[in-house]
Amino acid sequence: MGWIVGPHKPLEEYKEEVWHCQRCNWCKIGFGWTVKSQKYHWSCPSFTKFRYDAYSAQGRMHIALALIEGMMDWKDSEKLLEIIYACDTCGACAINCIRIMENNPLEVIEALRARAVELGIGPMPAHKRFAENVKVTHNVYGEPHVDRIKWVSDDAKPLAKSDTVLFMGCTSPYRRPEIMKATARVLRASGIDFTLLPDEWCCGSPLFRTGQLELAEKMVQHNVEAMKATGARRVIFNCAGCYKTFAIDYPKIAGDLNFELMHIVELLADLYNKGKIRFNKLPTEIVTYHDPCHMGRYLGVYDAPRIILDAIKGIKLVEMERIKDQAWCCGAGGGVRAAFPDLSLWTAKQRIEEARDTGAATIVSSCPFCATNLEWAIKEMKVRMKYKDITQIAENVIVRL
Amino acid sequence: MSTKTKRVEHQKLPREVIRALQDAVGPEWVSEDRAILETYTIFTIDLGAYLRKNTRDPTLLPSCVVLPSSTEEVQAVVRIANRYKVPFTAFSNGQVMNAPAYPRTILIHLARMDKILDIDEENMSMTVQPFVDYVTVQAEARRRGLWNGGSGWHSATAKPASQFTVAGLWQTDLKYQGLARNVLGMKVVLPTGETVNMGSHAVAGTGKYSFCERFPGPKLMGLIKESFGTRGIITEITLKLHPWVGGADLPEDVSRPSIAHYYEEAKQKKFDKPPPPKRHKIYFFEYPDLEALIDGLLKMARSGIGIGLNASGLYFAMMCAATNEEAEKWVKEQFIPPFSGYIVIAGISCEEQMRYEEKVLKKILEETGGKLLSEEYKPEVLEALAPWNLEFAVNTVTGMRTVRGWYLATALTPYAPFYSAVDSRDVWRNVMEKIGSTHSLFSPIGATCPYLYIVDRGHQIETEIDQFPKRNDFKQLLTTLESFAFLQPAFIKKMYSGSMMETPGEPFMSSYPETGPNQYLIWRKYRKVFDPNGLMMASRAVLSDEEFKKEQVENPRGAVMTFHKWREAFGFIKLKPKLDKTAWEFYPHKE
Repeated sequence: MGWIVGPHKPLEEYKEEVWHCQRCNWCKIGFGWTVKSQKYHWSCPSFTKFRYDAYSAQGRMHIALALIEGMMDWKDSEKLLEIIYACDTCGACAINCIRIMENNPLEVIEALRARAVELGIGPMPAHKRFAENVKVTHNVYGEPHVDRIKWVSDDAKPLAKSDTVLFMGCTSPYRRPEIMKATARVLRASGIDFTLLPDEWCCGSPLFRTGQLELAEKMVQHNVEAMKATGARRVIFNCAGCYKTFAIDYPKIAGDLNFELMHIVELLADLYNKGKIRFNKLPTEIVTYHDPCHMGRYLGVYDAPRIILDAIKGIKLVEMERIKDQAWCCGAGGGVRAAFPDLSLWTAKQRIEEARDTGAATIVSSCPFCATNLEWAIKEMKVRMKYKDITQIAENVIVRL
Repeated sequence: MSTKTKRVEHQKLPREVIRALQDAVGPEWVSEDRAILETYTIFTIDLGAYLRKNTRDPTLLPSCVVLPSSTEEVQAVVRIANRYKVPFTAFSNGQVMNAPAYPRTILIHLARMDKILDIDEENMSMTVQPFVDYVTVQAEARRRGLWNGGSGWHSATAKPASQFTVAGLWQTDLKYQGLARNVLGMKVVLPTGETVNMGSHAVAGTGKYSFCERFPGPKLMGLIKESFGTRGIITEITLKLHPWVGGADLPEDVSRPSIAHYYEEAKQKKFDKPPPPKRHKIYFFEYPDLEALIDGLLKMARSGIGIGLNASGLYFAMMCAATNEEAEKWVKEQFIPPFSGYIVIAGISCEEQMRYEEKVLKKILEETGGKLLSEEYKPEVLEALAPWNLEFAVNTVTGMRTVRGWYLATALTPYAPFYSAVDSRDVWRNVMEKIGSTHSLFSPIGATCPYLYIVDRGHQIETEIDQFPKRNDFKQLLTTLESFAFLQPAFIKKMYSGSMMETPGEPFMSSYPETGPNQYLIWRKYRKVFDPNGLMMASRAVLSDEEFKKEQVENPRGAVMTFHKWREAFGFIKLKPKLDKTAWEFYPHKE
């Protein structure tokens, strides 16, 4: 289990932490000798792009200090809202800060956001749309609720009842149905029966991350009740964000969940390790793997995707310079894609460039939200690189033993 | 404090100054936004700034921050400051005393100057801009079978350019002698906006960047070294590189388990067991007391073995324990040997070199009463020291001071002789008796075995004693200030030149003419020539005639009074202002 814990204490309760930040600057660059080059030594997308310290975790900690101590007021700065929201909440700062200072700037950033919402200053207009959509259609995109299961086809059909629930999230079914289908096919090919929640709502991640906690809590309560009603004992995710939200945010509101949580890549790696599945050979393909922040830094899932890629003959994994807990974010998270598309795209382009430098033809990951941003960057950069979800690689070669 | 709810007002500059700055660097790189400015009021070891932060001193808040991208843009900003007589301060990461201390200061943040300008593999050097950090220098050098030898002060925290202005201690001082001796040249923007090239490239025809620190004439880099950023802005610096045989692909797993979050994993021994880099090894040893440890270290240093030799004593506990409580227990029970150290050995020429050096080390330990920690002798301690692996020993080690603690200040005797470690310990014991301490663990550690860097094959030793006051505890901050005011005369009494971190700055410098003699008068002359408007790090640089009169004589600050109090207590010759009140003179006159 990961250890970048999430929110949510009131801002004032972080007084010691913010004074403790002494500007060591490890929140801005990769840790120690994990850094392999000048080109890829930065870790914080926001600071790397904007360069003012305010856009780093250190800066945000010191802004929090000034607000907590009453040295400045929320209305004193025109940039304040932008500064606290132009952050992917990717946790690259936190992973080093915890290591060095035992501080967690990420919690402070989320507490700043929650306070901004309480004061009616935040969130950003684009984030308000998340809430409006979720209230009406139960998904952040404002798509018809019934369309959440539009992807279902005969070869990827859920059962009416099962011990295992496949939690769809919003991005997969509404924006990346091919990943949704691949996930379902992989489950079926592995011999895993699954069902869907009869009335699944957004997991609440975009609301948690943007400080809209009240509505986020309603999502938690609804989904947990819906889970209990199915009687299922396990939830499978193909979205790193939903997985992280269930694993870290839900227990803070709903207590112990009493059901097992797993990402599809963890399930596949587990089945493979136990000799229950194998993979057929694929034509030779050089790939590189992007660690989604929510599954990596937050939950510590680094090995499972690599076990799968290593197990598929024909797939050759070449690593980027920044991997695992030092991975560079795709740029989509924390509400950045919606509110700061320039920063979001710039961040994704940096990642694609890093992927290209490995010589790989394909960038693989295990999060539909990362997929969306990375593919956006590929398109904008007009480069010869493909994006594939790990389920899309596995779906046609998986063999049940 | 009653001031706790006081809002700090932003003091703005005239519009025409802002417009001129925007023209110089581009409008997006000048900010007066309050939230942005707030992030430039905390500087790691700026004790004075923390005191002022607690009292809501409005001068701590800069008027604006400017991010230039080149030497030319830095020059332009400095010239604008001079044109409008506005004080300015430049910094990269903000480790030292760069917080504004004068109303309406322009803060020059060098964050956009992050380029490696040149890597000269043949002459083993690298030229970088001021926002390039050690971790990047090391990474790029390693790929070429080189490294710069230093660990810096935290590999991310310190940038070589800014660290040069503080001198620069390295983990590999034993072999490579710290940053000050590893700089081949630099380009400096003077407080007037002119540039000066220092090093071999100051001479026409020797290349774009320096390959050697020497050139005809005086070695000007000494003007900038230990200036704490008060005498010029380094915009390019050429670093010496050395052979590195550890390989480019270093062990991936470098996490340390000494924090609660990692503890479970640490128990499973998942962390901090990376194999050392190729042809490098670290050996830990212990001695019965500080004097014996010093004897052993001296012999090791003179023998020619090793690249890094340090005595860390009980500091190991803070770094390697999983919790503060565990560290305290280890110290109290002396589970970690209080008089212990380590040596890093590198087989730079071949494997045989390592075997030879290991043999020499063992022989010295045997002769000097030291013991090597090993699988046979105290294996449990060796196991506990696992987090202090080579990654920390050669790359980031001094970061341990920030572990959990509220690291703020260091007392060290500059370039002191070998046995100064014993004097430092005694001085620190005195501090604890007379002033008190701010940390229940670190202060006793300093009074037992301070952190020691062995330099230049035993020609000198650096002793560090750190202070860890809480930054929002005014009383603790004052205790720290008092302890440093005490340390200065205490060291000078023992015939050292004072405590280094305090010496270059005011009001310490002018309060102790003994450290120079009267070095503050020399630097005052420099300031008159190169900073005629007195704008660079105003009130931090050496005081001008007028400032001295006002701040030291007519309306002395609290710190000045404290220094004079301790001068008297230590029996120093009394200081009396000269007739024109621009300097001190000894009273009665010193023969």
